[in-house]
Amino acid sequence: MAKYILKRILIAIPLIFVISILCFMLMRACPYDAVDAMIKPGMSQDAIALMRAKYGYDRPAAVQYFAWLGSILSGRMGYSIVSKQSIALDLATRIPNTLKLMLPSYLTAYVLAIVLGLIAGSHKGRRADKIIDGLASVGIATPTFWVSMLMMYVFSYRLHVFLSVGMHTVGMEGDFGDFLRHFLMPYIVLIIAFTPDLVRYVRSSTITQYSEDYVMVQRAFGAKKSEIMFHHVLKNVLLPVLTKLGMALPMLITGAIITETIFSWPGVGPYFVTAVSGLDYPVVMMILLLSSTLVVLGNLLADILCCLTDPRIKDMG
Amino acid sequence: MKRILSLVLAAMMAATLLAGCGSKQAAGSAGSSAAAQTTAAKSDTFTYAIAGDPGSNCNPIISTGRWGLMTSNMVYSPLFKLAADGSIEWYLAKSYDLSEDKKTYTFHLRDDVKWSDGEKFTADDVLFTIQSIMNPDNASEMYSEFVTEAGSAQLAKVDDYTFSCTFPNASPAYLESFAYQLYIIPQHIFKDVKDFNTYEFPGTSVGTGPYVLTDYSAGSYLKFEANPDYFMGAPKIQNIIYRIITSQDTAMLAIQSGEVDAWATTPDYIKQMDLEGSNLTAHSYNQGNVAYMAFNCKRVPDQKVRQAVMFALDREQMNTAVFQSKDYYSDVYTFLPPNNPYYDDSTAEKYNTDAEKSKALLKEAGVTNLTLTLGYDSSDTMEETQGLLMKEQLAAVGITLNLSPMESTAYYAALKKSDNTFDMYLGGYIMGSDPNTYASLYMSNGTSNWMYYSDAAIDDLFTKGISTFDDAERKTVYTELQKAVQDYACFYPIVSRNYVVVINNRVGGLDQCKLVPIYVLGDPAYLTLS
Repeated sequence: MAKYILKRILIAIPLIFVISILCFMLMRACPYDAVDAMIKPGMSQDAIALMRAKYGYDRPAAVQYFAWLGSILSGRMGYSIVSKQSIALDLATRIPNTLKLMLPSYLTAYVLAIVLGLIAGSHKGRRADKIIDGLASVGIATPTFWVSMLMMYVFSYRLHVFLSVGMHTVGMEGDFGDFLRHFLMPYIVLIIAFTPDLVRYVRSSTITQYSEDYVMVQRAFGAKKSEIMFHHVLKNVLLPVLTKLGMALPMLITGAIITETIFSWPGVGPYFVTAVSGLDYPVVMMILLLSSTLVVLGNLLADILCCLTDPRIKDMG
Repeated sequence: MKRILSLVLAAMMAATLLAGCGSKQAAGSAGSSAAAQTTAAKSDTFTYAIAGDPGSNCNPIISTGRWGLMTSNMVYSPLFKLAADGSIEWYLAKSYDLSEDKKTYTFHLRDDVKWSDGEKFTADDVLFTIQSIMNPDNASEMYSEFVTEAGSAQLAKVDDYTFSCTFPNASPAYLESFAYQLYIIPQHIFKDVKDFNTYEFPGTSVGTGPYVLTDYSAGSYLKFEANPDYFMGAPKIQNIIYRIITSQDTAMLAIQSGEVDAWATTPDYIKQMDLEGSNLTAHSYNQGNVAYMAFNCKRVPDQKVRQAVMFALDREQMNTAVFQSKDYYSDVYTFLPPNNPYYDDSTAEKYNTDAEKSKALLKEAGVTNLTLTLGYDSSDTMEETQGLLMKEQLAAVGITLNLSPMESTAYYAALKKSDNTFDMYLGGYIMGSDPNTYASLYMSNGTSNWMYYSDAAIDDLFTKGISTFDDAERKTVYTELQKAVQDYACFYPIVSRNYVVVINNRVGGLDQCKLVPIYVLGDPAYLTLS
């Protein structure tokens, strides 16, 4: 097992390098760069040249890339070109903020999806299934920013129950009640965003399982519906669903960009988007590195979970 | 199955109940003061919604952008400020002398100012600040104010409260270098910092300004507390918070529900808001902006064609369509904004709409079926509307206009290259008080001359404008200059759009604080809350 994991990680490392090189080349290929946004009319050519040199734009792309790589490998994450803030410090604040939002909502959506998907799949064609499938379709079609604005209008502007800006009221950082008043709206929006897709996945997985031979055999033996569901079908349904859980790991960092922006939630999403539109390459590269590492780890985790749930796979792989 | 479902539902209900327990009031009726426990309505806190994160670096030497400048204005003080009419409002300095050869400025500073950590403010701090700006390692935006083609400024300390600065040449425009954006930083804090860019905010700022930055939460807010020793008088409001809200739609809801007290916005958002019902007022003021259309003279070299285009356009139609109400803009007919003390359009050609004249000029130029490309910033709704109306207006005289919007930063980068494909383009600027600050835009070799033309008469007038210190003489020169630029027919000023800030009526003291360009709140120490 350990050898398998090690082999997977070793294969992944060059992949992450390639991704970072591609991203860097794309950013350099843009007709403008981060310094262009900082230049004011009236600045002399000397002053502009100084700015360019300071952030490494006077050197060829390859040199700039290796300079960045060198500082990453020695543990320094660098500084944002636009805000001059330490990236490590910024991420240390923002990643926990995103996790506080993403973990509860994704887990809730996951549990909800399993429950609803099982119901829908086991009652295929009947009323429960039609309702759940219909709701899932509506949910997939609804844009998150529209739902966010609707919720803000109703709950924040009209009813004054929840607050729409940020994670805390300033000065009330320790107050859990205050946190909930800020948290519940984006939480519900994210559940509406994540559940439908998972529901349909679980539902189709359940339907497939129910059409298998062993279910027919169980029915012939006179097993109760709940026995078939919980003793036999559930495990087989959960196998592909667990894979999804592993692949959701990178989403914990960058999965809620739109929602975070609308609710001014101080997470990684708005930070990343601002950096991309400002061509702030140290920030973009850092978040990309993080994200691609998580994708690799997520896939690995999914594979391990699969091995654990179904020992047959280990022998195959 | 049902058990799991009911468990999940029970958990969600419990969560909602907890939220109810957490808030001190139950869900109140709409529009009531249920916002009582949000910071906005607290009687000692004023919350301002800003659209970007200035960071906590708190260093005016390297900070860029409006939000960084607004932060500097809270925490630091300049030597003096220039009002819209050109008069001086003294801050850290009391007066200045100009030497006989007009090259040396000697400033006399206040001797009663203390930094917020108790240290005395002296001329050493000013010298340190200007030296930091002139240090190429810092790559400061203000570098070109003190280091020009003519040479570098020389600084000298006369005594603890007097210093002098000698420039390599004499120019009345140098006075402004000491005003806007020159916020003085404390030498005793920054002198051992090797690289300003990597300086980590120690948690509290040290400055001479009305407020002290005491708390910074990345992406969320900046919290300022009043500096009781502020040399212009202790601020009336104890706490000010800059709340970072990047989404304009969210900010619109937040200001109406009372979560923030002030927000800068545009007329199309104000149209959608119920100002009176939410106890808000929209304050619109001139920010010295000029929004314009300009030609790439390399691509449209025939002056008659350019004049024809300009006579075909209709400013009034564009301005009414964009702003709806005259409250939000001022008319402008030259390259200077209408509130500039040197603005004078009495002799300049205004290019008032005249379709017949336009057609006649096209005929004279021997041009038919002309097609032109107009570039503009795709994220600016005003420019979008102007572009569409221009297309219609030019079609009426037989010119086809192709619209070419581009993403903001890419657009400005393209304009800087002389081989761009725009025949005409839309833009806007806010420059300094002194007309010489516009030189880089209109002189033949100006670094920001995106019209790519070369005219010796205009160059001479700019040089003449700074060759004398006599105000009346300068006024004559600049009136001639404004006429010359309009005659050259490369620049078509459309409108001077106001800055609009929606403020909650509980905020008072705005007349003393003054609403100013760029920094918005001129001196926040005078604001009050009722």
